[in-house]
Amino acid sequence: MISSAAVAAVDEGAARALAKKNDCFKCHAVDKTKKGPSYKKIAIKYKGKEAEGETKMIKNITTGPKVKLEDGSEEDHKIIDTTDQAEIKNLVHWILSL
Amino acid sequence: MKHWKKLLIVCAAIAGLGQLGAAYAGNDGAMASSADRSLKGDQVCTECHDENDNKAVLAVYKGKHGVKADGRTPGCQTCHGASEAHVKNGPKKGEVGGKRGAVDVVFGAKSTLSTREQSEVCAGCHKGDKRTHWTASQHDSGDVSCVSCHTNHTHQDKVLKKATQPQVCYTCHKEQRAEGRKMSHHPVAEGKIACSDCHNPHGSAGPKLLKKNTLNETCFTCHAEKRGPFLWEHQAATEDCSNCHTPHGSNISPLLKSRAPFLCTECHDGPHNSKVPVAANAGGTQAGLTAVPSENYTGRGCMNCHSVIHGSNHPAGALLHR
Repeated sequence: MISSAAVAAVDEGAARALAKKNDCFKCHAVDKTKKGPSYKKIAIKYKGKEAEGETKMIKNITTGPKVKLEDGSEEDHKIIDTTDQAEIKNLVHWILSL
Repeated sequence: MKHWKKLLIVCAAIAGLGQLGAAYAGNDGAMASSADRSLKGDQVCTECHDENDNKAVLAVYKGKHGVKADGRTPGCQTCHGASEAHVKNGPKKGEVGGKRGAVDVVFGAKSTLSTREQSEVCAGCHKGDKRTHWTASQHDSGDVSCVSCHTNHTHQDKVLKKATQPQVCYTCHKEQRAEGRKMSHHPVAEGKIACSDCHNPHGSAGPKLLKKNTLNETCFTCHAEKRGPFLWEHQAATEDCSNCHTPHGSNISPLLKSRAPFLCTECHDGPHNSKVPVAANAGGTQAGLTAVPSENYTGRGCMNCHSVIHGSNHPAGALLHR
């Protein structure tokens, strides 16, 4: 279970830097739909179901499953280039906090 | 009758204005369609490479390459190619930190193309005029490509601005940077002139990529008063300014290679109190020497007396005194 306090205590700078380094912003943006959904849209989707959101997002960015793009086509999700779980969780929590 | 004439003139003026407006609207429409076409092509790229991109790619729209109202302005694909391998090939399954394939035309150090091939992409539009002598010029032969000096994805290309251009040139030309810091120098550091005021980096018919065909011709574009023709010439000055001057900087003003009298005695090595002050080191003959000069002046600053050293138009100026 992920607490709202954990979500609130995210390091936004580190999360943004990790996302930028891994080209996440090529397909996602904070508040606009690109190839992938906006981070705000994801946060709204998992509002009240943060634990489920966290599991789903960690799966997406660490295993690279097929994901549906906004235009309906499918593409393998990019696997993030870090094994630091704290770093990954910080990124996920930042997205959920939006 | 007069009223009818006035009315006709007013009607003609209104009709004329109407036609002008229609022509302007038509022109505007053509501009809009060319801009739309270009931006639609760019959209393929800007969909991912937006304001959040690691590189400030969008800044290209702040520069000259982003002026979409001009139909000649390129889109992303004009320079980088259609790049289907980059657009369609997403990350491979299971690949950690996977990257897309490269675009067709990459510029700079990471490019698989030779510098000449990279430059040819730019030369597709930027040809002729100042770039006529590019092929086999010093920069072309030295594996310098356009992007070695120019930056396009920025609002202001440093090399196109007088105040910042020397920083770009000095990246390689370090000796000239050091010389430019000497006491006597052209006002490059002060931002009043830039390297390209004397040199054409894109190639020239003259030596050292000078803008004009000879060194003197280049210097005379600013120092016109030294051009002559003179009644009494100073042969060294007429031949080559760099006989006495160094262009980038010197600690002997004004940009002299050595201090008088030593600079002068490199040619004028005869005794001052003789009728042959020009000895074997200098060609030509000494004209107008009617009296034997005093030996008292030997070893003094020559320009104290020979003040019009570049040449004189005074009837009695043979010794460049006046």
